[in-house]
Amino acid sequence: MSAQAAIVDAFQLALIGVPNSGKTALFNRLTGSRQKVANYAGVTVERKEGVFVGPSRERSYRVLDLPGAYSLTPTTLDEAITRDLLLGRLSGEAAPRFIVCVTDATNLRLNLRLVLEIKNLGIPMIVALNMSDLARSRGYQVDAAALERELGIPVVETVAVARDGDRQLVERLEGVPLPAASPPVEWREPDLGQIEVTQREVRRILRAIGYAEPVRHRALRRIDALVMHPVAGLAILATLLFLMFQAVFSWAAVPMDMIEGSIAALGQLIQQTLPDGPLRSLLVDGIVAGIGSVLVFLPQILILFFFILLLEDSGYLPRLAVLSDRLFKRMGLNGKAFLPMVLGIGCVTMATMTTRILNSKKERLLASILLALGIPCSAQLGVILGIISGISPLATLVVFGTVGAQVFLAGHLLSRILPGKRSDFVLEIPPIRTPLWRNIFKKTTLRVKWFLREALPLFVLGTLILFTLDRLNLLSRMVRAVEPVVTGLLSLPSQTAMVFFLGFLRRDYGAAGLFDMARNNALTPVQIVVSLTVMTLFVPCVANFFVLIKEQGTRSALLITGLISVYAILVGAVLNLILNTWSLPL
Amino acid sequence: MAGPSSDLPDNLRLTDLAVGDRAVVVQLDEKLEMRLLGFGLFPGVPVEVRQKFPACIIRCEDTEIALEKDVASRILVRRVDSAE
Repeated sequence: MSAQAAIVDAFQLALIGVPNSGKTALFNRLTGSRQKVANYAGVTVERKEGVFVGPSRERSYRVLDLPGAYSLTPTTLDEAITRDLLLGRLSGEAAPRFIVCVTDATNLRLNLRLVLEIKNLGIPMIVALNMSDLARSRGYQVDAAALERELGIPVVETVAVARDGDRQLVERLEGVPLPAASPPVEWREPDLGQIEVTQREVRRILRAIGYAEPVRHRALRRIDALVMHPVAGLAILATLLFLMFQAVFSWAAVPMDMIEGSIAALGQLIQQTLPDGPLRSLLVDGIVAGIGSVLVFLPQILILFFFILLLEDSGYLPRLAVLSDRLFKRMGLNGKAFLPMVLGIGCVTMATMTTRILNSKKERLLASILLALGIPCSAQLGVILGIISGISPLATLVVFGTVGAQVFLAGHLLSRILPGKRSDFVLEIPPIRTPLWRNIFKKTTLRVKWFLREALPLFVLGTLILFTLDRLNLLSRMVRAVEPVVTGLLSLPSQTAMVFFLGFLRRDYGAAGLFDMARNNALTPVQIVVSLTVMTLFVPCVANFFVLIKEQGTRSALLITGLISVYAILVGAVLNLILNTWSLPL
Repeated sequence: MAGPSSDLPDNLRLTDLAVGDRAVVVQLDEKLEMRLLGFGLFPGVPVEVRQKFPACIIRCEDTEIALEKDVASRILVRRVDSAE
């Protein structure tokens, strides 16, 4: 008889925690690949469940990873789902019998409120002091025993990103008797007075366990004053961004060539091995090409993630939100939108997924639209810079100036038209600190894995659509349908229509197409400027379109894509008219 | 009470303070209460103004919080002399 067969009843537990507490990393650490991901009934919030067998092999655990929440007083859909599920109010979901509350040991002040609120529910629980290693290396005093004494509930240390980082938690769980179904929890929304009491209790506990912000180094405090300076800070930001993208493009060049070569070789190998037919062509032009189109950009994405995480780990990123808040305010957003916008230069598809960090529904929609409209992804930026460097600085200025102005204008107008509200900008500013390389490398790996898992299927789907359209001879018909617009309104050669289409379905194709046309002198400087501007304004690629569907719903995604397409062509037409009338020395 | 009031003569808006000033939070705008409570900002808490531009940055115990001007102007405070 196997050990598995002896398991009678599964220990059910729910993981709950503040966003960025490492809750999902801990969930992955515990359950590995034995996970089931679905949505909660009727909403777009992910429901993640997984199982694992305890080291004694005597029982199995069923783990539910609840959406991140700062408190039980919901301000987001995620928080509402978590609260309702905890209270057994979510239809089709039983209230959890046991809770593991994951806290970020480097920021206990923001995490303990949730712990106290859950403790009051009376459901048996363990507190996991996650990132305890990181907290120690940053100079915090992490004392699980003291916290356990103050809270009156078990506290263990975890390091979700380390191989054995869940050991203490699992050992503690093994000793807990199988919890019975608890009676429905009595709960009333706390009033302000009660929340205040909770916050005071948080402060009392922190003092009692000797948890305090480590003393900041004088040099770091000086750096802090400098990077937050309204003038010097902006100059530093501009320099950093310039260096960052310089690195993204130059460092990635060699690995990109190698990957491109390997993909081509793989395609050729299949071509030689398999007999000619639809299967071979599906494999080569559909699947291999689709995976290749993502892998080629992986070095750039990896380097960009590395830099962003470096900025995050050093505490600089929230400061950028502060510096840019005033600009974003005019576009109906707030400083928090800085992160998705910068990530967009790496990959708009991925950046659209991170719009979730924004507080209001309106801001998420607005940021998604602006990303799709005007933020050139690394593939587009590569082409733009490659082509335009051969023309003139004025041409570069016209392209980026037009795109930038359109993003600002669209944001400004849409923020007035779209329903909903902009959220007030309030942000906690962590101390500036020396980055921990190990931490950055680990996080970069996790992010890249996430990107591959989320984006790869979308890009493969894109190439499969292209493949199908091409096979059914629909592609050429669609291209012919838009040709009059391209030649008439934009005065571009008819092949450009094909390039735009290909660019949407497979961004590397479109980019290469335009590049070839420019190199063969098939385009005048005005045509180059117009085509690059229109290409940047279009929805960057089909994967972005799918993500829009996922985040905003099919109707909104279609509407956004349609509007942006019309808008892009209109801007292109006006630009074409202006450039031809004034005949600027491009 | 209708909105933030300054019936007491020494009640100021957070934006009225200068960099380096210390104060105690007296009252929060109703719409902001929930949000700011999450950051540990409520009546009775001591704060220190660290910066006022491009956004207002205050130090509240050992946490620094950035607030845009609009938000900061809706927080009423009472100035505390640095000697206290």
